[in-house]
Amino acid sequence: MEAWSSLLGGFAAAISPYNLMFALIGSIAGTLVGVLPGLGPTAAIAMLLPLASHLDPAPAIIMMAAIYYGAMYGGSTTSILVNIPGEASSVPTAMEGYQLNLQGRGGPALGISAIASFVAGTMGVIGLTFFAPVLSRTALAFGPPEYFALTFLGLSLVVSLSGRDLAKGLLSALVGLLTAVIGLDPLTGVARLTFGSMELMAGIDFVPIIMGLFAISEILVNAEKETKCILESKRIEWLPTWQDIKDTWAATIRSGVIGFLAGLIPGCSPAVTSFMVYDLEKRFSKHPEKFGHGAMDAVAAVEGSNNATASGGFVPLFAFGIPSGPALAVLLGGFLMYGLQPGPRLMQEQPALLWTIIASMYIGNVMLLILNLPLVGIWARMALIPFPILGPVIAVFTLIGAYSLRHSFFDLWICLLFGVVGYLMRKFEFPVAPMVLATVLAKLMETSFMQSLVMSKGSPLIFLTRPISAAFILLTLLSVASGIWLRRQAKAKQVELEESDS
Amino acid sequence: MLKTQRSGDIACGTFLALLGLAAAWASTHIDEGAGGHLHPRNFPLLLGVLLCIGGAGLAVHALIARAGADKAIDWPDRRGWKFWGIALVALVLYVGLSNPLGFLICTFFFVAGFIWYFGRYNPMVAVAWALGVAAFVYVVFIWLLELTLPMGPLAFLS
Repeated sequence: MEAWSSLLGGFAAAISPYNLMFALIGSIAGTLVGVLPGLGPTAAIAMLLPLASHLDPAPAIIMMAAIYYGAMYGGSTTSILVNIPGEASSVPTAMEGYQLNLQGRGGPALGISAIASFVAGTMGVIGLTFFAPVLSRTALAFGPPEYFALTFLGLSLVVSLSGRDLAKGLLSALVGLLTAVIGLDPLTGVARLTFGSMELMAGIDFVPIIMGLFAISEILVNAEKETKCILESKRIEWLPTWQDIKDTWAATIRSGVIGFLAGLIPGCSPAVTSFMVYDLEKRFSKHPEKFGHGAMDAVAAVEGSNNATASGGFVPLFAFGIPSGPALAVLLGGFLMYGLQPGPRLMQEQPALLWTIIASMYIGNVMLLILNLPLVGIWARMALIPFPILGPVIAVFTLIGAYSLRHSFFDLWICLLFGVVGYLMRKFEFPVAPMVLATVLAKLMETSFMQSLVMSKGSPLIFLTRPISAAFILLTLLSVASGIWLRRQAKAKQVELEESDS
Repeated sequence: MLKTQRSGDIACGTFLALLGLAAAWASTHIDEGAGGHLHPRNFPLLLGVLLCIGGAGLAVHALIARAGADKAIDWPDRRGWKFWGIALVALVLYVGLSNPLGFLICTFFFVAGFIWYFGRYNPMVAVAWALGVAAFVYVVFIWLLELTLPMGPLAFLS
């Protein structure tokens, strides 16, 4: 097969010590950036572009690509250890992994997320290698109606993310949508709900919101309780057991496939996939009641899917030059810096370069696994640090990270505000995840809705006449209906149990 | 006041209903863009209305169904509120003073103060940790990642 020989040629080039070194630098930088809350791969790649301009294209792009998928490895670390998602794609990991950490199983959770990231990430690169041309053609069939239908499906996940109280989950999502609306209208540029304020016109970025809802509110909760140590018991496990791996391998494989396919769609970020996969795992799990209290297969699925999506995101980039998200857009800038335009022409004119990069992605994933697994013990020990010391350190990194996004103090105040909001939400038992999901999806949802209506000259039937979009809408209705039915079942079971107890 | 989940639901529902009302009212003042029938006010207006109805529904349901009347909200005691308040004030001061004083100085005082007050450690331990964290911030964020952060009087270091 042509792909095999090209790939082997790519490996020959990728194994050169020079390229290996830059893969390593990128992996370390990516992990670091993923661990630090607020800072993301987009900023890191952008910051390293000037440095990269001194290098040849191959090592530079190898390094920048490694930063992108490396960040997916690092994002789980703070999510599991201190309930602060390093990236938006790690929010479900925080929901499950932190509970595991409090039970003393933080080490295994970190280990499983590294292993799942490696397996699913590699599956994604294999998909990139062999299936890119076939699948990329389907992905191009995605237009605004399909994007709207996809985000609509995503929003329906609120049903399963709402925990016990669906009504509160929906209200939480509505507030999230409302905060995303503040700013300039995406299509016409008209100022909405800005009350004349300059800062509000730039809109409220979802990263400070997430940082506030998770990190700052966590600090406030622990301060109020005078927590000495966040761990409930001093007994800690360091590494995952074979049982853990047995429990999670199916979830990992599933998330690898779904993550890769989702990554093919330009605009589908790892964050969206991670919520979707979390919901899917909950439905197909043999023990759905564990979700929310520490389900290891959820951690594996979410962390696997965001790596697979990252790998899948390279398909539209290499095949058509279409970046899947902001980080890949900056990476595209890296290509353009060398006068290279990714796309069918580049595939024909400089195949060696692209295959070297793809080959180095396999190597990069191995490097990241080797980097992350041994460090699990060290990271897990962090949970033993007394809260009076750990708390302010987390606060400092969170706030500096949030500031670094747009160099805006307004973002910091938003972060603190949502810290208080998050605290109150916990007290009043409003679920936080739907709000997060809504802020992540809102812009894409509204933009694609408006664009679809422009395409159809005002007719909403366009969502049903196009096959892919109609399929997603149907899926959404099924998902909502089955979600509500599952909740009724669970409630009925609970009532049965209570009656049989009494 | 607001001791049970039921009263909490009523309060939150009312607040959200008012928020929705405010959003809906503010949306009616949004100018028309060039989109023709795609008025930019439609989406926020819809959200405001839904929020208003949802919030009112929550409040009314809690009022009538008396659901959660027996569940107490886990508010902290007086001591807990004091610590909560101090943590919040410390965070506010950190953000507020970061511009004039720069992140490094604020980090130092914030970390030292927090550790000393909440942990009741020896002040020297607190200062040592604070110096360590400030140094780490400098090395990683300013030197390694070359972020431009406000430095205040320490601007010569960047």
